Amino acid sequence: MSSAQGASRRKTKAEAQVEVCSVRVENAMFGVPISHILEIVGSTRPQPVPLAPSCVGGLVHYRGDVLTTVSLRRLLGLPPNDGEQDILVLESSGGCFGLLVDSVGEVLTVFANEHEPNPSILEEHRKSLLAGAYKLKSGLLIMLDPDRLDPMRLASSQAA
Amino acid sequence: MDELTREFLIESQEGLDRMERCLTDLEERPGDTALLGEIFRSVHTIKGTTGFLGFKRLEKLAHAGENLLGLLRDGKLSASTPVITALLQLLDGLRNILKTIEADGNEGESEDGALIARLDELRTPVEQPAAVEEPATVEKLAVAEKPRPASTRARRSATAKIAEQPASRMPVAAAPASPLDVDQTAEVLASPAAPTESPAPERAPEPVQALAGPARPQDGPSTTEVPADATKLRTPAAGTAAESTLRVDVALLNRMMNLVGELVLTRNQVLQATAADPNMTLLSRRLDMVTADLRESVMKARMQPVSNIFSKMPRIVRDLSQSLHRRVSVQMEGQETELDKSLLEAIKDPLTHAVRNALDHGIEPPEVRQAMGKDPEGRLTLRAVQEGSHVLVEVADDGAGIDAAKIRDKAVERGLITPERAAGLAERELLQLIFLPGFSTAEKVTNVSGRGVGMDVVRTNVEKIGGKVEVDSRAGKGTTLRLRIPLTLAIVPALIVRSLNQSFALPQAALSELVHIPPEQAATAIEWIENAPLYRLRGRLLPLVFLEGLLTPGRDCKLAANRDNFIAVLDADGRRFGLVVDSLADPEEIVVKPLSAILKDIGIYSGATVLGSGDLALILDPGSIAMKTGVTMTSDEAQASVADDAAAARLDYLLVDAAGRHAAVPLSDVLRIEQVPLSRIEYIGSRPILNFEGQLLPIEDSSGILSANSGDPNAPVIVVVCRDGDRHVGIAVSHVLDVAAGANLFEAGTGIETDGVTLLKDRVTGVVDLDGVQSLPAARKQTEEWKPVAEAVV
Repeated sequence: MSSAQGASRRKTKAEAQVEVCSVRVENAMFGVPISHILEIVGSTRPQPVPLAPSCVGGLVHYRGDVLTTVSLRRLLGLPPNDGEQDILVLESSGGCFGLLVDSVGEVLTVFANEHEPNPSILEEHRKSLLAGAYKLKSGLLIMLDPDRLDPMRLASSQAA
Repeated sequence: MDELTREFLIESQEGLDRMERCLTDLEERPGDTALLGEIFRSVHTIKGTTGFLGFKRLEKLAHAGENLLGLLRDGKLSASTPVITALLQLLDGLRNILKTIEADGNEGESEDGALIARLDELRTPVEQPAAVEEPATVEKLAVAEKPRPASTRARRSATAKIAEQPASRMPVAAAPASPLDVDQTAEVLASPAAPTESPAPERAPEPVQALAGPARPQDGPSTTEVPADATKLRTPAAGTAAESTLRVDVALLNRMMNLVGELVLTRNQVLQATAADPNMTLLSRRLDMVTADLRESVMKARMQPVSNIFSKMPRIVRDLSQSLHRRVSVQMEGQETELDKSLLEAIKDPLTHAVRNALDHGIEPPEVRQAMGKDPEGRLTLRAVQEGSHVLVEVADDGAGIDAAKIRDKAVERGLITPERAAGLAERELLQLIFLPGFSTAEKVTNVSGRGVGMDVVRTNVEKIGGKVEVDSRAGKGTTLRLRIPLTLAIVPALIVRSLNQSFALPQAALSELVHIPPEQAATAIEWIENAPLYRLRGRLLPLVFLEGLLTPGRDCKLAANRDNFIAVLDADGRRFGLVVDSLADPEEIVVKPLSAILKDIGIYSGATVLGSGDLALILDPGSIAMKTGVTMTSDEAQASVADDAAAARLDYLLVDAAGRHAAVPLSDVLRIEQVPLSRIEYIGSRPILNFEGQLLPIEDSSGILSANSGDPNAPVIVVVCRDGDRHVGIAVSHVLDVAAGANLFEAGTGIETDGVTLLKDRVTGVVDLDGVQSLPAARKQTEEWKPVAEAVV
């Protein structure tokens, strides 16, 4: 990732590049802007929390703290994955949280002019999680909005 | 707010805290110049610095105070009660302004005219006649006999010399520009003073005083005395303490604590991983040691002496004793005892409340005390002492004590307890009723206490931090309130239980006992009223909560017939219930980690922790579980639990097997149960004793258990350590069988209650006569032998 960070330092405004970490859930590919990622923790089994809202994937031990994770599978309404999962540690206004994904892919450099907003035909529920997509040659890279994945916000939006 | 202002606020607060302590001390020793000097310095420092920072309002008030203090310090005015009251008002005034500055960044608009006028007024009676009518001072002065102009000249030369020498480092900001400074002397001083204001007058307090004194012309002839005074006021240790300590942000300490917790965990894993590798043994052992040391040091860094809050009490006592017309002296013991900072903060309010109560309800007015033959001055003792992993904080007064009958009547009157229940309570249990919500015995509501939101708040606050509170009182002799506080909050002892194949931590503070239900009893152990499961615990119905059912709503729960079941009997704020869990793991000292808000909102977890195995465990909150599952504490039930506890204290026995015979020991007398190898038992003559950390415990062995095993020095011996009055005695037993409630037995025909036997589990069982256990030679001579009074009869 260090070379990627180096690249980000070299980028100019004119090109408006964004670096995105791709993650895989089931067969879909999603992107998270790396500026929001604190760390990637591989191969964990979060401890489930009984009675927690459905989007909570459990707790993991992260640098001396106990980190609440959000399961992307559950958010997308997919069946749970009982195997080991990767965690993106994300920073939000309310502190840190983890995003549970099946696996973390690679860091891609995408250009702002390839971005399209959420299509109008998308379900409202999905619209609140996604932040448009980048048109890559290999297909669409669907962007996740880290701020909207914050467990606190998810809980309030689900309750509403 | 800039760094300088913040620094100023912290320093000023500390100065004022010091001043508060000194003021209350000063009332007892009005002539103590060292105290006066300290107070003067505090106010003076604030004044000097405010001038620099431009807080005019603060400066004006501090200046008025300083003028008065100057007179006190020079012995022109004695520290009478009105003076001290005014100075305390000054202190409050200064604090308020500091608070405003902290909150808004400016001093606020209010006026301190009234307070300043009051301070000036106290000063005036002394000042006018001082110059001519102070023979005592005049005598000391060589220049005193001379006419006034000469005196002024002499003074000028004296003070000028002082001013010249240390001029470069002199914090001349001190020289007060009092409106009364009309004398020439003042001019001499004031003129060099103004331009060289220094921000750090506290570094050189002595020259400051040397100047401050002569700056007030009204002080008259005493001016030349000032340098001598100043040297007397010097505090020798002031500099060194400041250099060896450092202010650290509490948040940083918390972070360090977290990291150390993490390190401990990593160490555990490293130790496990390297256990097999002989090359790593030395390294991992060192890692182990360093980690343990580090953890201890970080914990220690968070500790603060209880004197930090004890020292606030004399002021409160002073103010209250004036408004309530009491005379009270405060004594403090164990001030150096240390507690975690957050805990110290948490007990500040309960402690203040206890002190208020002691004055309002405890200590009587002087006339009443005198009439009762007591010292008219009441005594309030604050005591702190560390006991194992707890700190015991006591607030004791020698006042009227609590009238148990009055408590009972009030509790009945307020509907907190039914009369029938009340009648069955022992005196000690009645006393604990004061902790019920809505309780107050105050005949009239004063502004100090009597609103009925008192002791229950104390209890709630103390229990919130895992502590316990109890009260002890003797009518006419006084009351003692005991707060039992854990040493630290960050690490709590907990029992790890398992359910749903997951570990959960139960704080030990709420755990009162564990009940084991073997598989064969699973079908019958629990009784049901509709769908409410209940367990009969020593004759009382205990509501049960299945942890599994709680965590997976809708699941039908019953005890498993193919394995052991466990009930953890919990007592959370008076709500008693049993939590059914699948299995028990070890008790563990856990480091509490906060949960994110989303999980806290679930309401039954108070945090999470990382276990020694590296697994995570959620910490259950017994209070919230009780609330969520509807285990309530209605006033009647609360009372019932108190009453039942009372019954338990009277009637529960530890059932032991002593060489084949059953005997009972009152559970309330049992301190602990020890298992020691036979070789640890020593003998004085033929008397078996146990040397327990240098204290000798006489062992009762009338059933011959010790001699029966004498062949094997490693044979384990079980010793039940009991309390008999003030002394401790041990009883050797073969096995400890159970805890059971005893029922009284009555002699046939006469109906007289029998002594020394009880009905335990439907068997008549002898109660061990602790009083009959022979004392050690040095103590009283008594040669009775203990025998079980009656053998178990089937």
